[in-house]
Amino acid sequence: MLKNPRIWIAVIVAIAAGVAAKIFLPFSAQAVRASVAIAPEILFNVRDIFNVGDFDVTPTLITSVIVFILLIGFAFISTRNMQLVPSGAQNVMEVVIEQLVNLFEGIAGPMWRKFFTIAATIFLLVIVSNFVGLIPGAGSIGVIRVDEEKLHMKVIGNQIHFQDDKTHEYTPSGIFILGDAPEFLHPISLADKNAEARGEHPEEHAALAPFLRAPTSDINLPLAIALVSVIMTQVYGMQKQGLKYWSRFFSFGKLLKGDIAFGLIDVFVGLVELISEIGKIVSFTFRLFGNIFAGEITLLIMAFLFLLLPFPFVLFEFFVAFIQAFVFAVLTMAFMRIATAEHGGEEHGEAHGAEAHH
Amino acid sequence: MDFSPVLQAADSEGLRLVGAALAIGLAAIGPGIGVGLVANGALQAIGRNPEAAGTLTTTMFIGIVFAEALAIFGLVISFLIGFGIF
Repeated sequence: MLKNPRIWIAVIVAIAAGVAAKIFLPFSAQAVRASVAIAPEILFNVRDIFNVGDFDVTPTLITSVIVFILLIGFAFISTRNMQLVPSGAQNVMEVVIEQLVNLFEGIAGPMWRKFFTIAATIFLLVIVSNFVGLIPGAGSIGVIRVDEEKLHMKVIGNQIHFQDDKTHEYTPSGIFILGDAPEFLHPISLADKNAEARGEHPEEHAALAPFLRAPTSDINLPLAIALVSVIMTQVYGMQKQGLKYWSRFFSFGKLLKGDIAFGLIDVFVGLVELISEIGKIVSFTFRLFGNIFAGEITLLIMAFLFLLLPFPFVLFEFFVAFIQAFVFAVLTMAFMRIATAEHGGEEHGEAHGAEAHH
Repeated sequence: MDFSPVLQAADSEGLRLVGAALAIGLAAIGPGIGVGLVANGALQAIGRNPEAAGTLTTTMFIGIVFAEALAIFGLVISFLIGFGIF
Protein backbone atom coordinates (compact mmCIF):
# COMPACT_ATOMS: atom_id res chain seq x y z
CA MET A 1 0.00 0.00 0.00
CA LEU A 2 2.81 2.36 0.92
CA LYS A 3 4.53 1.77 -2.43
CA ASN A 4 1.68 3.60 -4.14
CA PRO A 5 3.15 7.03 -5.00
CA ARG A 6 -0.27 8.72 -4.90
CA ILE A 7 -0.48 8.16 -1.13
CA TRP A 8 2.85 9.92 -0.61
CA ILE A 9 1.76 12.81 -2.83
CA ALA A 10 -1.41 13.14 -0.75
CA VAL A 11 0.60 13.09 2.50
CA ILE A 12 3.03 15.74 1.21
CA VAL A 13 0.17 17.96 -0.01
CA ALA A 14 -1.58 17.63 3.37
CA ILE A 15 1.60 18.57 5.26
CA ALA A 16 2.24 21.51 2.91
CA ALA A 17 -1.36 22.71 3.36
CA GLY A 18 -1.00 22.51 7.15
CA VAL A 19 2.26 24.47 7.16
CA ALA A 20 0.85 27.06 4.72
CA ALA A 21 -2.25 27.48 6.89
CA LYS A 22 -0.08 28.01 9.96
CA ILE A 23 2.02 30.65 8.18
CA PHE A 24 -0.56 32.58 6.15
CA LEU A 25 -3.78 32.45 8.18
CA PRO A 26 -4.08 35.19 10.81
CA PHE A 27 -3.50 33.04 13.86
CA SER A 28 -2.94 34.89 17.06
CA ALA A 29 -1.64 34.10 20.52
CA GLN A 30 -4.93 35.28 22.02
CA ALA A 31 -6.94 32.31 20.84
CA VAL A 32 -10.61 31.68 21.26
CA ARG A 33 -11.22 28.90 23.71
CA ALA A 34 -12.35 25.72 22.11
CA SER A 35 -15.91 24.99 23.04
CA VAL A 36 -15.94 22.27 25.67
CA ALA A 37 -19.52 21.94 26.81
CA ILE A 38 -21.83 18.96 27.13
CA ALA A 39 -24.79 20.95 25.85
CA PRO A 40 -24.23 21.89 22.21
CA GLU A 41 -23.88 25.60 21.52
CA ILE A 42 -26.90 27.43 20.21
CA LEU A 43 -26.12 28.85 16.77
CA PHE A 44 -29.31 30.82 16.28
CA ASN A 45 -32.98 30.78 17.11
CA VAL A 46 -35.51 30.13 14.37
CA ARG A 47 -37.43 33.18 15.59
CA ASP A 48 -34.54 35.50 14.66
CA ILE A 49 -34.54 34.43 11.02
CA PHE A 50 -38.07 33.42 10.04
CA ASN A 51 -39.98 35.47 12.66
CA VAL A 52 -42.00 32.38 13.60
CA GLY A 53 -41.59 29.76 16.27
CA ASP A 54 -39.19 29.61 19.17
CA PHE A 55 -36.64 26.93 18.51
CA ASP A 56 -32.90 26.85 19.11
CA VAL A 57 -30.81 25.47 16.29
CA THR A 58 -27.63 23.70 17.40
CA PRO A 59 -24.73 22.40 15.29
CA THR A 60 -25.66 18.83 16.19
CA LEU A 61 -29.20 19.40 14.92
CA ILE A 62 -27.84 20.60 11.57
CA THR A 63 -25.53 17.59 11.23
CA SER A 64 -28.32 15.21 12.32
CA VAL A 65 -30.49 16.50 9.49
CA ILE A 66 -27.57 16.14 7.05
CA VAL A 67 -27.03 12.54 8.18
CA PHE A 68 -30.74 11.70 7.87
CA ILE A 69 -30.88 13.17 4.36
CA LEU A 70 -27.72 11.27 3.36
CA LEU A 71 -28.99 7.93 4.67
CA ILE A 72 -32.58 8.22 3.44
CA GLY A 73 -31.47 9.64 0.11
CA PHE A 74 -28.96 6.87 -0.46
CA ALA A 75 -31.47 4.19 0.54
CA PHE A 76 -33.99 5.71 -1.88
CA ILE A 77 -31.55 6.03 -4.80
CA SER A 78 -30.11 2.55 -4.37
CA THR A 79 -33.49 0.78 -4.20
CA ARG A 80 -35.52 2.88 -6.64
CA ASN A 81 -34.71 0.81 -9.71
CA MET A 82 -33.50 -2.57 -8.51
CA GLN A 83 -31.93 -4.89 -11.06
CA LEU A 84 -31.09 -8.59 -10.80
CA VAL A 85 -27.51 -7.71 -11.75
CA PRO A 86 -26.75 -4.73 -9.52
CA SER A 87 -24.78 -1.71 -10.64
CA GLY A 88 -23.90 1.67 -9.19
CA ALA A 89 -25.61 2.67 -5.95
CA GLN A 90 -27.48 -0.63 -5.67
CA ASN A 91 -24.15 -2.44 -5.81
CA VAL A 92 -22.75 -0.37 -2.93
CA MET A 93 -25.88 -0.94 -0.86
CA GLU A 94 -25.78 -4.68 -1.48
CA VAL A 95 -22.13 -4.86 -0.40
CA VAL A 96 -22.94 -2.93 2.80
CA ILE A 97 -25.97 -5.10 3.63
CA GLU A 98 -24.09 -8.31 2.84
CA GLN A 99 -21.21 -7.36 5.13
CA LEU A 100 -23.64 -6.47 7.91
CA VAL A 101 -25.49 -9.77 7.49
CA ASN A 102 -22.22 -11.69 7.72
CA LEU A 103 -21.28 -9.68 10.79
CA PHE A 104 -24.56 -10.02 12.66
CA GLU A 105 -25.93 -13.42 11.61
CA GLY A 106 -23.92 -15.41 14.13
CA ILE A 107 -24.69 -13.11 17.07
CA ALA A 108 -28.42 -12.71 16.74
CA GLY A 109 -29.40 -16.36 16.78
CA PRO A 110 -32.46 -17.91 15.11
CA MET A 111 -34.50 -14.69 14.97
CA TRP A 112 -31.76 -12.65 13.30
CA ARG A 113 -33.93 -11.51 10.38
CA LYS A 114 -36.24 -9.74 12.78
CA PHE A 115 -33.46 -7.98 14.69
CA PHE A 116 -31.35 -7.21 11.65
CA THR A 117 -33.43 -4.24 10.44
CA ILE A 118 -33.10 -2.40 13.75
CA ALA A 119 -29.47 -3.31 14.41
CA ALA A 120 -28.36 -2.42 10.87
CA THR A 121 -30.25 0.89 11.02
CA ILE A 122 -28.57 1.72 14.33
CA PHE A 123 -25.18 0.73 12.92
CA LEU A 124 -25.51 2.88 9.79
CA LEU A 125 -26.95 5.87 11.67
CA VAL A 126 -24.27 5.80 14.35
CA ILE A 127 -21.32 5.25 12.03
CA VAL A 128 -22.35 8.00 9.59
CA SER A 129 -23.04 10.35 12.51
CA ASN A 130 -19.60 9.63 13.97
CA PHE A 131 -17.88 10.16 10.64
CA VAL A 132 -19.58 13.54 10.08
CA GLY A 133 -17.75 14.84 13.15
CA LEU A 134 -14.42 13.94 11.53
CA ILE A 135 -14.92 16.09 8.43
CA PRO A 136 -12.04 18.62 8.35
CA GLY A 137 -13.37 21.90 9.71
CA ALA A 138 -16.08 20.33 11.85
CA GLY A 139 -15.49 21.59 15.36
CA SER A 140 -12.97 24.22 14.29
CA ILE A 141 -14.97 26.58 12.05
CA GLY A 142 -17.87 28.47 13.53
CA VAL A 143 -19.05 31.65 15.18
CA ILE A 144 -18.04 33.21 18.47
CA ARG A 145 -20.51 32.91 21.31
CA VAL A 146 -20.00 34.99 24.44
CA ASP A 147 -21.20 34.17 27.93
CA GLU A 148 -23.27 37.31 28.52
CA GLU A 149 -23.85 36.66 32.20
CA LYS A 150 -20.19 36.16 33.07
CA LEU A 151 -19.17 39.29 31.15
CA HIS A 152 -21.95 41.37 32.75
CA MET A 153 -23.24 42.45 29.36
CA LYS A 154 -26.00 41.91 26.85
CA VAL A 155 -25.70 41.75 23.08
CA ILE A 156 -28.64 43.45 21.37
CA GLY A 157 -28.41 43.75 17.60
CA ASN A 158 -25.06 45.27 16.71
CA GLN A 159 -24.37 46.72 20.13
CA ILE A 160 -23.02 45.45 23.40
CA HIS A 161 -24.78 46.86 26.44
CA PHE A 162 -22.78 46.69 29.65
CA GLN A 163 -24.26 46.83 33.11
CA ASP A 164 -22.90 50.34 33.58
CA ASP A 165 -24.99 51.44 30.55
CA LYS A 166 -22.03 51.92 28.23
CA THR A 167 -22.63 50.61 24.72
CA HIS A 168 -20.14 49.34 22.20
CA GLU A 169 -20.39 48.47 18.53
CA TYR A 170 -19.38 44.96 17.60
CA THR A 171 -19.29 42.81 14.51
CA PRO A 172 -21.90 40.10 14.79
CA SER A 173 -21.89 36.61 13.35
CA GLY A 174 -18.61 36.51 11.46
CA ILE A 175 -17.07 33.20 10.57
CA PHE A 176 -14.11 32.38 12.74
CA ILE A 177 -11.50 29.70 12.61
CA LEU A 178 -10.28 28.10 15.80
CA GLY A 179 -7.35 30.15 17.06
CA ASP A 180 -8.47 33.31 15.29
CA ALA A 181 -8.45 36.25 17.71
CA PRO A 182 -11.94 37.72 17.98
CA GLU A 183 -11.54 41.41 17.18
CA PHE A 184 -14.86 42.40 18.67
CA LEU A 185 -13.68 41.17 22.04
CA HIS A 186 -11.10 43.96 22.30
CA PRO A 187 -13.67 46.64 23.17
CA ILE A 188 -14.97 44.28 25.86
CA SER A 189 -11.56 43.91 27.43
CA LEU A 190 -10.98 47.65 27.10
CA ALA A 191 -14.36 48.64 28.51
CA ASP A 192 -13.92 46.73 31.73
CA LYS A 193 -10.45 47.79 32.84
CA ASN A 194 -11.04 46.50 36.34
CA ALA A 195 -11.41 42.98 35.03
CA GLU A 196 -7.63 42.56 34.68
CA ALA A 197 -7.10 43.88 38.18
CA ARG A 198 -9.68 41.46 39.55
CA GLY A 199 -7.82 38.65 37.83
CA GLU A 200 -10.62 37.97 35.36
CA HIS A 201 -9.98 37.25 31.72
CA PRO A 202 -12.99 38.38 29.69
CA GLU A 203 -11.81 36.57 26.56
CA GLU A 204 -12.14 33.29 28.45
CA HIS A 205 -15.90 33.68 28.42
CA ALA A 206 -16.02 33.67 24.64
CA ALA A 207 -16.01 30.29 22.95
CA LEU A 208 -16.22 29.03 19.42
CA ALA A 209 -19.57 27.54 18.44
CA PRO A 210 -18.76 25.29 15.47
CA PHE A 211 -21.13 24.92 12.53
CA LEU A 212 -20.68 21.15 12.45
CA ARG A 213 -20.40 18.73 15.34
CA ALA A 214 -20.93 14.99 15.33
CA PRO A 215 -24.63 14.41 16.19
CA THR A 216 -23.54 11.66 18.57
CA SER A 217 -21.51 14.18 20.60
CA ASP A 218 -24.87 15.62 21.68
CA ILE A 219 -26.30 13.45 24.44
CA ASN A 220 -29.81 13.51 22.96
CA LEU A 221 -29.18 11.33 19.90
CA PRO A 222 -27.43 8.49 21.81
CA LEU A 223 -30.23 8.64 24.38
CA ALA A 224 -32.88 8.40 21.67
CA ILE A 225 -31.17 5.43 20.00
CA ALA A 226 -30.68 3.73 23.37
CA LEU A 227 -34.37 4.15 24.20
CA VAL A 228 -35.38 2.69 20.83
CA SER A 229 -33.01 -0.24 21.35
CA VAL A 230 -34.14 -1.05 24.91
CA ILE A 231 -37.87 -0.57 24.24
CA MET A 232 -37.75 -2.72 21.10
CA THR A 233 -35.96 -5.39 23.14
CA GLN A 234 -38.96 -5.49 25.51
CA VAL A 235 -41.37 -5.54 22.53
CA TYR A 236 -39.62 -8.51 20.89
CA GLY A 237 -39.44 -10.31 24.21
CA MET A 238 -43.20 -9.85 24.64
CA GLN A 239 -43.87 -11.00 21.06
CA LYS A 240 -41.90 -14.19 21.56
CA GLN A 241 -42.92 -15.14 25.08
CA GLY A 242 -46.13 -13.20 25.69
CA LEU A 243 -46.89 -12.04 29.24
CA LYS A 244 -44.53 -14.71 30.55
CA TYR A 245 -41.73 -12.33 29.52
CA TRP A 246 -42.41 -10.14 32.54
CA SER A 247 -41.72 -13.05 34.93
CA ARG A 248 -38.10 -12.17 34.21
CA PHE A 249 -38.58 -9.05 36.32
CA PHE A 250 -41.49 -9.90 38.62
CA SER A 251 -41.19 -13.54 39.63
CA PHE A 252 -43.43 -14.13 42.62
CA GLY A 253 -44.29 -17.73 41.60
CA LYS A 254 -42.16 -19.53 44.17
CA LEU A 255 -42.96 -17.05 46.91
CA LEU A 256 -46.72 -17.60 46.47
CA LYS A 257 -46.22 -21.35 46.52
CA GLY A 258 -44.77 -20.95 50.00
CA ASP A 259 -41.07 -21.41 49.24
CA ILE A 260 -39.94 -18.37 51.24
CA ALA A 261 -36.14 -18.62 50.88
CA PHE A 262 -35.91 -19.34 47.14
CA GLY A 263 -38.94 -17.13 46.49
CA LEU A 264 -37.18 -14.12 48.04
CA ILE A 265 -34.07 -14.86 46.00
CA ASP A 266 -36.20 -14.94 42.83
CA VAL A 267 -37.84 -11.62 43.70
CA PHE A 268 -34.42 -10.08 44.35
CA VAL A 269 -33.01 -11.44 41.09
CA GLY A 270 -36.00 -9.95 39.27
CA LEU A 271 -35.31 -6.58 40.88
CA VAL A 272 -31.67 -6.72 39.79
CA GLU A 273 -32.80 -7.54 36.23
CA LEU A 274 -35.14 -4.56 36.30
CA ILE A 275 -32.39 -2.21 37.47
CA SER A 276 -29.97 -3.57 34.88
CA GLU A 277 -32.58 -2.79 32.21
CA ILE A 278 -32.42 0.87 33.26
CA GLY A 279 -28.64 0.59 33.50
CA LYS A 280 -28.64 -0.54 29.88
CA ILE A 281 -30.12 2.77 28.78
CA VAL A 282 -27.52 4.71 30.77
CA SER A 283 -24.57 2.64 29.58
CA PHE A 284 -25.72 2.64 25.93
CA THR A 285 -26.12 6.42 26.03
CA PHE A 286 -22.93 7.33 27.80
CA ARG A 287 -20.73 4.78 26.04
CA LEU A 288 -21.47 6.33 22.66
CA PHE A 289 -21.67 9.91 23.89
CA GLY A 290 -18.56 9.64 26.08
CA ASN A 291 -16.40 8.12 23.38
CA ILE A 292 -17.31 10.61 20.66
CA PHE A 293 -17.33 13.64 22.95
CA ALA A 294 -13.97 12.70 24.47
CA GLY A 295 -12.60 12.16 20.95
CA GLU A 296 -13.67 15.65 19.87
CA ILE A 297 -12.07 17.24 22.92
CA THR A 298 -8.87 15.24 22.36
CA LEU A 299 -8.67 16.48 18.77
CA LEU A 300 -9.22 20.10 19.86
CA ILE A 301 -6.55 19.90 22.55
CA MET A 302 -4.08 18.22 20.18
CA ALA A 303 -4.77 20.93 17.59
CA PHE A 304 -3.71 23.54 20.16
CA LEU A 305 -0.61 21.66 21.26
CA PHE A 306 1.37 21.13 18.10
CA LEU A 307 1.21 21.34 14.33
CA LEU A 308 -0.06 18.11 12.69
CA LEU A 309 -0.28 16.34 16.06
CA PRO A 310 -4.03 15.62 15.59
CA PHE A 311 -3.31 13.48 12.51
CA PRO A 312 -2.74 10.10 14.25
CA PHE A 313 -5.62 10.87 16.59
CA VAL A 314 -7.96 11.46 13.65
CA LEU A 315 -7.09 7.96 12.40
CA PHE A 316 -7.76 6.61 15.88
CA GLU A 317 -11.10 8.44 15.94
CA PHE A 318 -12.11 6.68 12.71
CA PHE A 319 -11.41 3.39 14.47
CA VAL A 320 -13.38 4.47 17.55
CA ALA A 321 -16.29 5.63 15.36
CA PHE A 322 -16.52 2.18 13.76
CA ILE A 323 -16.09 0.26 17.02
CA GLN A 324 -18.77 2.28 18.79
CA ALA A 325 -21.29 1.77 15.98
CA PHE A 326 -20.42 -1.94 15.88
CA VAL A 327 -20.72 -2.34 19.65
CA PHE A 328 -24.05 -0.51 19.76
CA ALA A 329 -25.56 -2.74 17.06
CA VAL A 330 -24.05 -5.99 18.39
CA LEU A 331 -25.20 -5.27 21.94
CA THR A 332 -28.71 -4.47 20.74
CA MET A 333 -28.80 -7.83 18.97
CA ALA A 334 -27.31 -9.69 21.93
CA PHE A 335 -29.84 -8.19 24.36
CA MET A 336 -32.68 -8.97 21.96
CA ARG A 337 -31.48 -12.55 21.70
CA ILE A 338 -31.36 -12.85 25.49
CA ALA A 339 -34.85 -11.35 25.79
CA THR A 340 -36.38 -13.72 23.24
CA ALA A 341 -34.62 -16.81 24.61
CA GLU A 342 -36.53 -18.90 27.13
CA HIS A 343 -35.75 -17.83 30.69
CA GLY A 344 -32.96 -20.11 31.99
CA GLY A 345 -33.95 -20.08 35.66
CA GLU A 346 -37.60 -20.79 34.80
CA GLU A 347 -36.70 -23.83 32.71
CA HIS A 348 -34.50 -25.12 35.46
CA GLY A 349 -37.28 -24.67 37.98
CA GLU A 350 -39.77 -26.53 35.75
CA ALA A 351 -37.34 -29.37 35.12
CA HIS A 352 -36.73 -29.63 38.84
CA GLY A 353 -40.47 -29.69 39.47
CA ALA A 354 -40.98 -32.41 36.85
CA GLU A 355 -38.30 -34.53 38.50
CA ALA A 356 -39.97 -34.09 41.87
CA HIS A 357 -43.29 -35.25 40.44
CA HIS A 358 -41.69 -38.38 39.08
CA MET B 1 -2.46 23.24 62.66
CA ASP B 2 -4.33 25.86 60.72
CA PHE B 3 -6.92 24.21 58.51
CA SER B 4 -8.66 27.40 57.40
CA PRO B 5 -7.16 27.38 53.85
CA VAL B 6 -8.46 23.84 53.39
CA LEU B 7 -11.89 24.79 54.66
CA GLN B 8 -11.97 27.80 52.37
CA ALA B 9 -10.96 25.59 49.48
CA ALA B 10 -13.89 23.31 50.30
CA ASP B 11 -16.22 25.89 48.81
CA SER B 12 -14.08 26.50 45.79
CA GLU B 13 -14.13 25.39 42.19
CA GLY B 14 -10.85 23.50 42.54
CA LEU B 15 -12.05 20.85 44.95
CA ARG B 16 -15.06 20.14 42.75
CA LEU B 17 -12.77 19.52 39.79
CA VAL B 18 -10.58 17.24 41.90
CA GLY B 19 -13.71 15.29 42.80
CA ALA B 20 -14.70 14.98 39.17
CA ALA B 21 -11.23 13.79 38.17
CA LEU B 22 -11.12 11.28 41.04
CA ALA B 23 -14.54 9.92 40.10
CA ILE B 24 -13.56 8.88 36.59
CA GLY B 25 -9.96 8.07 37.52
CA LEU B 26 -10.89 5.58 40.24
CA ALA B 27 -13.82 4.20 38.24
CA ALA B 28 -11.50 3.34 35.34
CA ILE B 29 -9.12 1.13 37.37
CA GLY B 30 -11.35 -1.92 37.78
CA PRO B 31 -12.82 -1.97 34.25
CA GLY B 32 -9.31 -1.47 32.87
CA ILE B 33 -8.16 -4.67 34.56
CA GLY B 34 -11.39 -6.41 33.56
CA VAL B 35 -11.08 -5.49 29.88
CA GLY B 36 -7.48 -6.71 29.96
CA LEU B 37 -8.58 -10.06 31.38
CA VAL B 38 -11.33 -10.44 28.77
CA ALA B 39 -8.94 -9.70 25.91
CA ASN B 40 -6.37 -12.05 27.46
CA GLY B 41 -8.88 -14.90 27.57
CA ALA B 42 -10.16 -14.24 24.06
CA LEU B 43 -6.65 -14.09 22.59
CA GLN B 44 -5.68 -17.36 24.26
CA ALA B 45 -8.84 -18.99 22.94
CA ILE B 46 -8.17 -17.69 19.41
CA GLY B 47 -4.59 -18.95 19.65
CA ARG B 48 -5.82 -22.44 20.50
CA ASN B 49 -8.70 -22.47 18.05
CA PRO B 50 -8.15 -19.95 15.24
CA GLU B 51 -11.27 -21.08 13.34
CA ALA B 52 -13.50 -19.70 16.10
CA ALA B 53 -11.95 -16.21 15.84
CA GLY B 54 -15.12 -14.61 14.44
CA THR B 55 -17.48 -15.76 17.19
CA LEU B 56 -14.87 -15.18 19.87
CA THR B 57 -14.25 -11.60 18.75
CA THR B 58 -17.92 -10.63 18.96
CA THR B 59 -18.34 -12.41 22.29
CA MET B 60 -15.20 -10.64 23.50
CA PHE B 61 -16.73 -7.29 22.60
CA ILE B 62 -19.86 -8.10 24.56
CA GLY B 63 -17.73 -9.08 27.56
CA ILE B 64 -15.64 -5.93 27.25
CA VAL B 65 -18.77 -3.83 27.10
CA PHE B 66 -20.12 -5.23 30.38
CA ALA B 67 -16.85 -4.41 32.14
CA GLU B 68 -16.74 -1.01 30.49
CA ALA B 69 -20.24 -0.13 31.69
CA LEU B 70 -18.86 0.40 35.21
CA ALA B 71 -16.38 2.96 33.94
CA ILE B 72 -19.25 4.66 32.11
CA PHE B 73 -21.18 5.04 35.36
CA GLY B 74 -18.04 6.64 36.80
CA LEU B 75 -17.97 8.98 33.79
CA VAL B 76 -21.60 9.93 34.42
CA ILE B 77 -20.84 10.76 38.06
CA SER B 78 -17.77 12.69 36.92
CA PHE B 79 -19.88 14.76 34.50
CA LEU B 80 -22.48 15.40 37.17
CA ILE B 81 -19.85 16.64 39.64
CA GLY B 82 -17.74 18.48 37.08
CA PHE B 83 -20.58 20.45 35.55
CA GLY B 84 -22.00 21.30 38.96
CA ILE B 85 -25.25 19.37 38.73
CA PHE B 86 -24.73 17.96 42.23
